[in-house]
Order: sequence, then structure tokens, then C-alpha cells
Amino acid sequence: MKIIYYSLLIIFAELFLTHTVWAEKPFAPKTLPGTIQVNAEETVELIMNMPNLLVIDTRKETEYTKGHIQGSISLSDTEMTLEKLSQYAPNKSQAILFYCNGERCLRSSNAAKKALKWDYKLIYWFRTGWNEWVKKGMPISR
Amino acid sequence: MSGLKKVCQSVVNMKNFDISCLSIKSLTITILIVIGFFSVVVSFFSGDYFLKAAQEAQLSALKRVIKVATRDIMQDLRDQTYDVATTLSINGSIPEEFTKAQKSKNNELLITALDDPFITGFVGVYNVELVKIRAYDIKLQFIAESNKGSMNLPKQIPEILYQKAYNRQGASRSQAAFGLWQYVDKSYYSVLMPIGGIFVSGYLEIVVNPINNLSKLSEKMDSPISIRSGIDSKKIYYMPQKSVDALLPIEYTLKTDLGKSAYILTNYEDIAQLSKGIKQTVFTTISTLIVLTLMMLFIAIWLFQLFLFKPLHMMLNQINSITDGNIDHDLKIKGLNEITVLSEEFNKMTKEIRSRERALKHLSIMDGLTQIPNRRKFDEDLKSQYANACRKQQSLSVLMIDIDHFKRFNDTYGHLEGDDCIKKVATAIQNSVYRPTDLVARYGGEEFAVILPDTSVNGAQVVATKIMKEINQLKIPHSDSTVNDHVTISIGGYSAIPCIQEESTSIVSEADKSLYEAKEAGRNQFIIRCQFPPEKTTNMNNNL
Repeated sequence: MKIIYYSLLIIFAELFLTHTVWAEKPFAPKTLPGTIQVNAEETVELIMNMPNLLVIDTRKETEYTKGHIQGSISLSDTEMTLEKLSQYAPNKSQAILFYCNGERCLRSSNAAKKALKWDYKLIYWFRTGWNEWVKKGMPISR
Repeated sequence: MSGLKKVCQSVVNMKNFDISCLSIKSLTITILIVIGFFSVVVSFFSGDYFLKAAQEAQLSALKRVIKVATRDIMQDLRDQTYDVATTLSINGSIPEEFTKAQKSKNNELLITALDDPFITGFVGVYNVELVKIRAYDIKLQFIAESNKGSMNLPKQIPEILYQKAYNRQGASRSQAAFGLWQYVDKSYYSVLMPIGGIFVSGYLEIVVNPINNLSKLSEKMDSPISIRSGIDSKKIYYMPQKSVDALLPIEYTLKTDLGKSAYILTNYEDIAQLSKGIKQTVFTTISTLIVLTLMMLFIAIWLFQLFLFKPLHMMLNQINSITDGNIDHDLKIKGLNEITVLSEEFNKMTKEIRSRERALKHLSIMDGLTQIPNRRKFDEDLKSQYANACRKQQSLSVLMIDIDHFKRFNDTYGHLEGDDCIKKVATAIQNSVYRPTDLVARYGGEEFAVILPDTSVNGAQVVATKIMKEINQLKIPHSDSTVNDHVTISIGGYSAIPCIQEESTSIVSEADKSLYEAKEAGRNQFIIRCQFPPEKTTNMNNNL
């Protein structure tokens, strides 16, 4: 009986663990209150029409090196502190745009949340990010 | 059904075909063999059909494969050209020289910058064959092109790129445009990339030749290919080593973005290699099918043999034996329901026949009035007893009995009384005989006969005496008799050891003679004579 009991326990545990391991990467939230969500075209319009806009690439630096949105700076969400951000955006009313790889990348939303916490007023969030940028054949800067 | 019946009848009548010459066994086996033959033939045809269908399916699948492989190659070409265009259009000397040229209206340095990728071996880094690099202003008007590469291209933007990029507003102007297009007898692939990235100041067109990339289709398909121009069908690239007859060509036409034929790509598949697997499958399937069909047929024939043919054959043999004279035998067949029922019904019929035969036999040997054996039975019995006595050399005695003046009795008392008298006399005679082998029969109208096997003259005398006594005790009145006032009889007998030379009837005629003598001697008496000398004659009247 004990053998059966333990076997069942192991099977259930394994099922549970497997589920955890194989779980898909989570999606970024659909909306982020306090931010303005934009797509690729709107990003281009913003860059063209808003010279002060600070575009932050929240991906890893290696990814940034391979190609990024023209004029963007590389600052991953984990490395982003108030101090570092303040270097680029000393003014809290500075417009900032965050992007990362796409819907399954949480870096841009995390960074945007941080910026919101630090009272930045004008935050743009390019949720679909790099995937949409490349897919639409937008210019890539290296 | 009636139609089928008519057809069968017509066939039978036309050919004078006797259906009874066919046995169930041969008909069933013939039908099964015909079914088996047709199954095998159908299997072969279906195998051929299956082979064709499989080849068509394979051809269709290969067409889809070449389509997908070609698209894959074109996507790869697009990505690489896009990469080249990205590298050249945002950073480096081209954007700088382009801006300068716009201002100074001097294109020389720009042309040098456009030539640079050809000179620095930039091409080798990517798997694309650069044909030309050209620059356009923001309104897509031609400004400059590289001196290197093909010299024959027109100095204007290709129509497809113009359609895609013209009249774009806002952000969409920053997007790259792609297109496969034709000029004179050649096809080219181009990427139009905004110079300056998001801040578009003009456009850079990278023109490449897709042939080298398309020739890699052979590696992807793992078979030789040929590429012909979609414009004039000239061969641009040709690989097959084998004779074309042994190869199956599969074509795919790559079209330009404007829908014209750019390249005709032909993939050559080895027919033998293709059909090898299918043929093996077809052979295995068909062989299995045929073996299974034949096995089923053998099993069917075996089952028919076990449950139908064998019991029927046994039944026919037994019926033949019964109809040949062994009517007393019964069919002993057990089998399927119909066979058992048939056997039981046949047994009922033979039982009925036996019963009727017995009744008929009884009727044929018995006298209707007296219920004792008749003349026929007497003759049969006499013959057999005579032969028996002859073989064993035993005495055989025959008594002939006649009612005295019976005609007068009939005349006096009527025929009904006469019949009654005969019955009583018959019963009396019957009662006087004890042994089962003895036979009393009615010989004629008022005549009776008695056969006494293994009986000498003395025995016959005892029996005759007993009969006389019985008759006398009946006391049937007979007023018109000259012998007595009641019915009397005369008995003539003959006792002999029969010999083979004489007929059985001789003993009857001898007994008849004795009867005649008894009648002559005055009736109401018996005379029994003996064969062997000295011939002994016994005369006895009713007073004895």
C-alpha cells in the first residue's frame, strides 16, 4: 500500500512540477495605468515630432548592440535606478518611451512601473516592441 | 427474380443443358473459385490504381514542397538584403554623402560611397549577389547609382517599389519596401530603405540577383533542379546529370510582385527512387490481400465440405442403399438443421412405406372372408416347404379338405348362411392345427388346404382325425345332405419325402386324388396316401 501511496504522490508532484517548468512565459499586462500605449507607427511619429523624447531600450545590452530603434539608449529594467534615470531625464516632466522585445517581455512594463513610481509624468509604453518594429520593416539602427 | 428465372430457363432450353448433371459441390466450388479469381484480378487492378493515386499524391506533395522551399529561399533573400540595406542606410558614409550631395548637388562622392560595398568585398559577408546600389530623393526621383555592378538598369525606381512607396505619409515613410521585378530579360530583387532612418531624407535601393539563392533549392529538395527565365524560357541554371526520361519534372513558377512570371523552377525527382517505396507497399498490400482471399476461400471450401458436401454425400449413399431394397433401414445422418430435418422426414416416409407394405402384404396373402391365408400364400408356402423338405429329406404332408354338398347347402340356406358355414369350418380347421409351421389356407370356394411340414402319414392322420372331429362337433344343420343331417367334410391327403425332380404341385394333385377317392367312397371321411411302397392307404369315416 505504501509503495502505491508514494508512487501516486511522486506522479502528482511530477505533474505539478512539470506544469510549472513547462508553463509559457507570461504576457505583459494589456494596459498599464498612467502610461500611454503606442504602436510602431506612433513611435516613429513621436520620435520625429518630439525631439526631447527619451527612448529607452530595456532589453539586454547584447540585444541592443545587434539593432535598436534609432536614438534609443540601452538601460535594462533591472539596472534602472532613479539615479541612473535622472542622468538622462533630470526633469520629471521629461517624456520617456520604454520598449523591449514584445508582448512576452516584461522588462518595458517593469521599467515603466518604476518610472511611474518615481513620479515621471509623461510615459509612453511601446508594448509590442522590437517584434512589431522589425515585422513592419521600420529602420534599424546599429 | 422472375427475370433471372426466365434467363436461366432460356439458357437451359437453348443449349439443352441438363442442370441435374451439376452437383452442389462442383457448383459451389466453381463459384468460389470464380470469386477468388475475380478478387485476385481486382486486387491487381486496384494495386495499379493505388500506385497511380499514390504517385499523384506524391507529385502534389512535391509541388507544395517546392513552393514552400522557394518561398523560404525568397524570405531568406529578403532578410539578408534588408540587413545589408539597414547597415548601409542609417550609419556609415552613404547617409553622410547623401546629405552632402543633396546640398551641393554634386554626386561624385556619393557614387564613390555607393561603390564602396562592391569594392570592400562586402558582398562576401552575405549570401546575396549585389547588382546595383541606387539613391533616390524623398520624392523617389533618381539621384545616383553605383558604377559597379550591372550597367544596364534604367535610371529610375522600379515600378513595384514606386507603387509601394509613393504617396506614403508619416511613419509609413520610414518603412522598407521590397519587390521582385523585371527589366528586359532579367528579374531582380530590390529593397528600398529610407536613408537616415526615421528622419527620412531620401531612399537607398539595394538591387540583388536572386539566381544564386534560388540555385540552393537543389540542396533543400535534395535533387537536381533547373531554372528558366519566366520571360523567354531560356535556361539560366541546369543541373540534372541523368537522362531526363528517368526523372520526373516538378515545376513551380515564381512570380514578380506584379504577377508576371519571373522564374520557372523545375525540380527533377528520380522516378525509380520515388516509386520504390510505393511499389514495395503496393506489393505487400496486394500479396497480403491475395493470400487472405485464398485462405478465406480454402476455409470456405473446407467448411462447406465438412458441413454440407460430406453429410449430403453420406445421405445420398444411404438413400441409394435404402431404395435398392433395404427399406427396413433408417437414415443415420446428423448435421446442420436442414440436413437433420431432411433425414428425419425421409425416415418418417420410409416408416410409412414399410407400414403400408406390411398392410398390403397382409391383404395379399389373407382370405377376406375367413381371415385365414389364401391360395397365394398356400402356393408360396408350399413351394418353400417343399424345397425345405427336399433339402432335409423330411416328410411333407398336404391335406385337401372339401365341404360335402356345399352347393346344396347354398341352395337350401342361401349364400349368407353359406359364407357363415365356410367361416365356421375355417375356424374349426385352424383350431385343429397346433404347430406354428403348419399352414391352413382357403384353397377355393369350399375347399381348404393344410400344409404339414416334417409330418409323416401318421401325423397327417392325427391332424385329419382332429379336423373331422372338430367339424362334426360344430353340428351345422344341412338338411339336403345325403351324408348326414349336418355339415360334413371330406379330406384327401398325401404324405411324401419330396425329391428335386418333381414340382411342388405334384403333392397337391396327389392329395386331390385322395380327396376324389374319399368323395367316391361316400364322403365324410379322409383318405391319406403315402409315397413309399407298399403304398399305405388309410380310410377313415366319421364313425371312427
